[in-house]
Amino acid sequence: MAEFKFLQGNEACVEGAVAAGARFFAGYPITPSSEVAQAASVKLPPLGGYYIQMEDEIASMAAIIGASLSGLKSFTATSGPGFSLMQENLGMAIMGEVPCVIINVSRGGPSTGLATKQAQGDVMQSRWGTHGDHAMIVLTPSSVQECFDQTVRAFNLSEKYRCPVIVLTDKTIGHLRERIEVRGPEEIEVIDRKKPDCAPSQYKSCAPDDDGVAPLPSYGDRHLLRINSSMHGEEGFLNDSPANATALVRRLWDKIEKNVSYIGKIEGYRLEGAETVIIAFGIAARAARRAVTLARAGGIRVGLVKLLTLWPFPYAQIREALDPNCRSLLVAELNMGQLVLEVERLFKDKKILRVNKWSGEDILPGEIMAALKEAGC
Amino acid sequence: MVLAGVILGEAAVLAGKHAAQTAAYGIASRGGFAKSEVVISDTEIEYPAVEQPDVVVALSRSAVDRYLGKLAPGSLLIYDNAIDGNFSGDGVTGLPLSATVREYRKEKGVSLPLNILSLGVLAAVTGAVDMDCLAAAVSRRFKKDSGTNLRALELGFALGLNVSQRKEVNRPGPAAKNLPG
Amino acid sequence: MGLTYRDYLREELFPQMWCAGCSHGISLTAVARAMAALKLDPAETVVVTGIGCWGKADDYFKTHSFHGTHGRALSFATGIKVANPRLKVLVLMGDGDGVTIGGNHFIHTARRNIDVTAVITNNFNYGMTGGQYSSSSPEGTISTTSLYGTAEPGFDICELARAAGATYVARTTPYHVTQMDKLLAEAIQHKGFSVVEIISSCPTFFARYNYKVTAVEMMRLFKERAVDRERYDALTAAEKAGCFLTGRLHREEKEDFHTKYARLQQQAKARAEREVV
Repeated sequence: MAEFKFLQGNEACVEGAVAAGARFFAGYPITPSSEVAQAASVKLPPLGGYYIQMEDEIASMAAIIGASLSGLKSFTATSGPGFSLMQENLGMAIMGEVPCVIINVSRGGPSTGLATKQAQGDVMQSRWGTHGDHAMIVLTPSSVQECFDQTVRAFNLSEKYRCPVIVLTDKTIGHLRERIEVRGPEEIEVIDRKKPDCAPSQYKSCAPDDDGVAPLPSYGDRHLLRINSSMHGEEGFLNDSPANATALVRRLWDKIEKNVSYIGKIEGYRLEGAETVIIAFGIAARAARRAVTLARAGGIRVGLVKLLTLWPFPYAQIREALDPNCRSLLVAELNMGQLVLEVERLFKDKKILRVNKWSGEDILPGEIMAALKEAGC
Repeated sequence: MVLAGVILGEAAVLAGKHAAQTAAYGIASRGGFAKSEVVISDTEIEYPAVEQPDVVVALSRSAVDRYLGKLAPGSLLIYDNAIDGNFSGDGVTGLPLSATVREYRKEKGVSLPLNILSLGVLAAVTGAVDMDCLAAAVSRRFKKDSGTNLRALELGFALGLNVSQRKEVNRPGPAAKNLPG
Repeated sequence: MGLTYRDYLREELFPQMWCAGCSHGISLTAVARAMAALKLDPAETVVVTGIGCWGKADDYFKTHSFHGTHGRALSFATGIKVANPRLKVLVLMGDGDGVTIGGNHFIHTARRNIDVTAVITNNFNYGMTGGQYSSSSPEGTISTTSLYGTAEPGFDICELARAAGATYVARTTPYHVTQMDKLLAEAIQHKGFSVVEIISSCPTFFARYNYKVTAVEMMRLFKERAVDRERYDALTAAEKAGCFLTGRLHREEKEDFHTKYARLQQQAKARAEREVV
């Protein structure tokens, strides 16, 4: 039975996590994500789950990886400097193929930066923050409802592909309160990791099925699990041969990048006949939507593509959604221009416009309107 | 202050409406300028922050300064008349908000919360949420300590009825009855 | 189950990857013997390692294993153990992993009294990266990054563990194999955070630079310099500096994290049920 609640974005992430089956949270408090930790500390223990406050974000990331391998769906939350500290073990989760979810409520940087203010400066850090070649799934909610829905989706994707998934929100969305529909368990699709169905003696921790994903037992199961942060072969032992390194990095990449049609998600608004299309995510997409409504009322042919998946970049979906009349793309983001780099790279046939702001304040609908007018739309 | 906005939003949701609330405050946990903005709508809210407020309740001098002379035509600025200064203009009204709290304390020895009193004013002035829903939201929030808060809400509502220019934005639709109690 | 220590080891992977004369092989089989003595179920046992020479040890165990990032082994182990308290979790770390880069995690795991066993082989330097000094290197240590000697004192790992709240603390050496077996078994059985420091030889770097002796002579040194509490207390400060205090140094019965947390979960559940009513 669905229930309407008036919740904060940060709280909605926890509701979503619990609905997806999460029972373990390890974290370190940091503004503006602390409400995620607070809500997790209230919600999880009565469910037989765990909230543990670690000594830093490095340990937080490590603890959720460990807990996930013991069989509990696990998550953490952070922002800015804390997200930087998590990069090390984000790589561990990629290499060890460990399902887990990281909620990054972004704030102004660099460094301590604007601790209590708004930014979307982690577009590239969420994609490339940890070292080495890797793919990354990053989901971007733009409302409190989407904080719930996208957190559920993050757990499902992490379980399906045995990988970490980042829910990238921002200070405004994290602290925003809105009406949301909290659906009952029967209305929510929950995906669980696949377990090995072979005999324990036949099991190899890192031998993928045809879909590129290896079944994952838990510590304590009869199938012995070997997780290795070093380049490893199918049995989980170190293997640094050129052929193995080439194949493993490729497989870890492909299991995500070859499934963009499933992982990628966008939402179009007023794209019919749109000559200019705004591309935005998170709170900037809300301002853009308002701007589109206002502009359309004034006869300007403009539309919006809202990204629900930021990475892997849903290029084909965007391309398909655009009206044949679309000549220019306007990327509105709360940074000096990060997402726009990907858009420029892939849409060489379009004129690219930008609206950027990194003052700690949100982009206002009027500012997007002004940019449209200035560009002659 | 921030809590009042949250309760207003909760009341709107109880009334079957869409609501969005944002807040701004400094890094200190107490003191300093704070504001709470609420958008209430019968339909989905596109942009959740207030772009142009219909009604502002100002409880400090800095709040008055921020909005005085900057409101759209037809909007209201209601300020606590205990704030030092003479403010005038279209839609600008002073109400004895803290004076009411003070008087009540003198009479009954109980401190009424000014933020909840302000909510009553908003309910009367805008009609954006009905009082039953607001009272339900207050009771839910304060549980056994609701008495004083409900009294503050009523007194605020009575004060609000004195404002001559009522801003009837977003008149309440029928309250949804199937919402969780 | 009738298992011997060989049932816990992947002997097919031998010879071990460590340098000739390195004492890690002795420590490895001692851990396996402790597992066998306690009849640990390999499917309920997890060996967690970090990075470094001793961090390769997990490869040789026929149990569940986790080879993680440098210094974070105890944090992974915390998640593993908290999420499934039934597991026996052994965390194998060197002095670099355990108390240098991982120093913060070490003291907090001790403070929380997480029921895992840390087996720290302390060879006073970073062997794998080429013999640089670590936070356990004594002041004046000669290493590849301190040709003029170090200007900083080293940690006493056991003192650090005890001060931070570890409830079982012991030290031994590769010469004292019988003692090592006994202490490891005690530590694994102990409920709460247990630490066994194994003073180790790095014949390739630390021993060569500082003692200028061979691996065999290092063993003689361990034999001569390891002293029990009674003998140690009778020594002068200068004599103590050249010795290793060995044996079980600390043991206390104290509720571990898991026991306390299970109670907290019960209380939280009861309270949540009350509030719904």
